[in-house]
Amino acid sequence: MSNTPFKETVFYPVVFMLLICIVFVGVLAVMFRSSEPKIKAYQKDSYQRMILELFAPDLASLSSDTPETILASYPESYNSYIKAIQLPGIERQSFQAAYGDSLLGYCFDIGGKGLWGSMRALVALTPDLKKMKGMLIYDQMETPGLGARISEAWFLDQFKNLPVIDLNTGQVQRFELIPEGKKSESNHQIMQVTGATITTNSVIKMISDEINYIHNPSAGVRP
Amino acid sequence: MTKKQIFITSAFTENSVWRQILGICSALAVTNLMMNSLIMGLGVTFSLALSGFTISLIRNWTPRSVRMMVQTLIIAAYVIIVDIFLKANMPDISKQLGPYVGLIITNCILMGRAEAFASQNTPLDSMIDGIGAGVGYSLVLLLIGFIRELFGFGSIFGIKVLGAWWTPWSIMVMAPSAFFILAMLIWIINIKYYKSKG
Repeated sequence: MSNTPFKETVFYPVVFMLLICIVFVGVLAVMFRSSEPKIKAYQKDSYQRMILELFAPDLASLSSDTPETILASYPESYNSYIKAIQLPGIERQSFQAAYGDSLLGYCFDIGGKGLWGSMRALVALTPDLKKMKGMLIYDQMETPGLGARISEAWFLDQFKNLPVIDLNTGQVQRFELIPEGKKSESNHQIMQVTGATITTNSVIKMISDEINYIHNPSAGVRP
Repeated sequence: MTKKQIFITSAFTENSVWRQILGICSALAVTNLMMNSLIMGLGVTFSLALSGFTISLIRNWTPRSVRMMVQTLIIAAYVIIVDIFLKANMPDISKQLGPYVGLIITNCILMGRAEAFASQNTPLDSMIDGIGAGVGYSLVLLLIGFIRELFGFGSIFGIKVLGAWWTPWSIMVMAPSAFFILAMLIWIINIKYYKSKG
């Protein structure tokens, strides 16, 4: 039998690394589990605030409040105006915004693939589902400073009051990308993020696919 | 070296940013607001101090062949702790800092201090060295953040100090301004301190 001390065998680095991994993964697991309720509560608040933000201008126009005061009075305002619903055949997390008896629109939780991973957004539509009221991206893994700029206000503002159904053909609107900074000449032109063409195209594809699905749920649920 | 000398060398004489030109990426990315700079600085200081302490503590048992993997793992663990803490207790700041907290793992200052100091010195000295490097890094971030926030937003730590008469300089909000400020800072320190000492 060899008398080589264990510390000098080839197994020692493996055992050492394994032990270090177990210790630190254990510490992180405990830390994460103890913080999870707080993180989840914040994520839920943030999600609901985004839905409220999409309908805040409409709610403000019907009430004596401003969009800011409606957002400031969360969660009461959310509970008063927003309701989770399930539209027939549409297997997406859906919400309905109403002020008293007047229906303001629907909000859908949609998803698609970006350049580096999946992305998720909340898209608000008018009651007839033909026009977007707005869109907010709440989860994406794109490159900071490039693709991640799809979450910036100037990009998202382009989707406010945007027709998603072509009135002539009745089909889902086909969008055209134009360079950043160029003035849009029609309501189907979207300014792309410079240096992030694939990400911008992914956002457009996500919207087109999901709007198509919402209008034709019988065509099947996309994976 | 005494504990005080270790701290001063790490924080000022051999400052990681202006002397060793390390950690530049985050120094440019998060310095548009002083609060972001402060939180980033605290996160890096915490990770530096504790990773230095831990790496030094186990240095006699760490096999040479896997030492860099061990260092990366320890640094990553402390950075994830910072990330979880911010997500749970300071969600707005966590959102503003975005991916940059996670990217502390790739901050060259941490691996640099682990390899150059912690793997060869006692745990307490390594911790002081880590705190010093973190303080030095935070000072640079706060200085750049101060200039950018003051001229870009007219505020300091979110408090308006310049009135409505002030026209914000948009360039200060954008990343290139940090390039210019950092370059000027390095130039001034080199001229005033290192060159004068020969």
